[in-house]
Amino acid sequence: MKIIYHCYGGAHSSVTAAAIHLGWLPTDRIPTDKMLEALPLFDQQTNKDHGHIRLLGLDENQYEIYVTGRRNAALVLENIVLGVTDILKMPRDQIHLVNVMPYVNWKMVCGGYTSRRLGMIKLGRPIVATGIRHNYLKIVSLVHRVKMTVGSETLKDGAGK
Amino acid sequence: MKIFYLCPTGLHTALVAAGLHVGWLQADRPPVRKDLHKMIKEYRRLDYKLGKPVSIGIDRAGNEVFTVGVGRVHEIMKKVVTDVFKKVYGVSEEEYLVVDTAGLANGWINTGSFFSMRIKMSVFGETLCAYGIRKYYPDIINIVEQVKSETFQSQIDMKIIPSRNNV
Repeated sequence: MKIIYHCYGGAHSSVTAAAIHLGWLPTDRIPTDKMLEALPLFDQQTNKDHGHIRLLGLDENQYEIYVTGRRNAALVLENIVLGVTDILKMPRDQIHLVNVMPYVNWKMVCGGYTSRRLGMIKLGRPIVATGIRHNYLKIVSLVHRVKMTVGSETLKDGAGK
Repeated sequence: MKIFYLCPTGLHTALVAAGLHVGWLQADRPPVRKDLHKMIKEYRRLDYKLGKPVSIGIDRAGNEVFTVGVGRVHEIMKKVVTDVFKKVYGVSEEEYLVVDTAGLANGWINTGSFFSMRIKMSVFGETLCAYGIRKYYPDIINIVEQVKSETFQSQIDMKIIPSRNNV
């Protein structure tokens, strides 16, 4: 199973959601700024990295967890991924796309723009981290839902990993 | 091999390039509005939506040719298509080719696609597009020829290598 978390830039919300999925961040409390900043790929991607799909790791079920930034073209990305899946005759239920944008607040947008676009990292990064901390439990609940959906699909198919 | 032609709509430069590639269009006869209209109508019957690759046909070398409409973020979506093949499914680079034809779109094509897609004035829009395509037809032919020679070459290489080993 392959799970792709996607957001505008693939630098903050999708990385956070993927890290929660992989167990790198706690689910019962809000992480500190340092924990967020220590994540691989957190606040690292620039404009030229948008569109690249990056493998972040394997979860406890050996599912591959990817992140990507796709600007405002969520539907186009989903259609491309599912279209290529069909062309390669791979089963559609073995790939799961998760849009993390509904969990992005204005602090994450402003901080992300300041850090990634304007290059003012020292100013933007703490604002992004504050925004993520504010919505953290919502992102945790999203990841829980994804795990439940993926788990039930796998059980339904009886396909395992 | 699977060849993908990308453009913002999937209905204009990408479709003409793919049409040329599979032989729907002739290099010595640029398409007029009726040809373009027929192609677009045919294409839209194939469950058209942005991002969904649509199979146009198979070329003489056996390569499957697709077009994809990717919106304004064509450079990013080119990377997405490449990475889905390469990183997500681990497909070898010789098995696919992604060609971004958005750079071939000129003012005529952009204005025409705006009229036909957004304002739904398809006759006027397609006339402008057909004019733009005729004007830049040699450039489209060049790209298709380049793609054909690249893919044909790679297939020849693949065939030669095992035979050399056998000898």
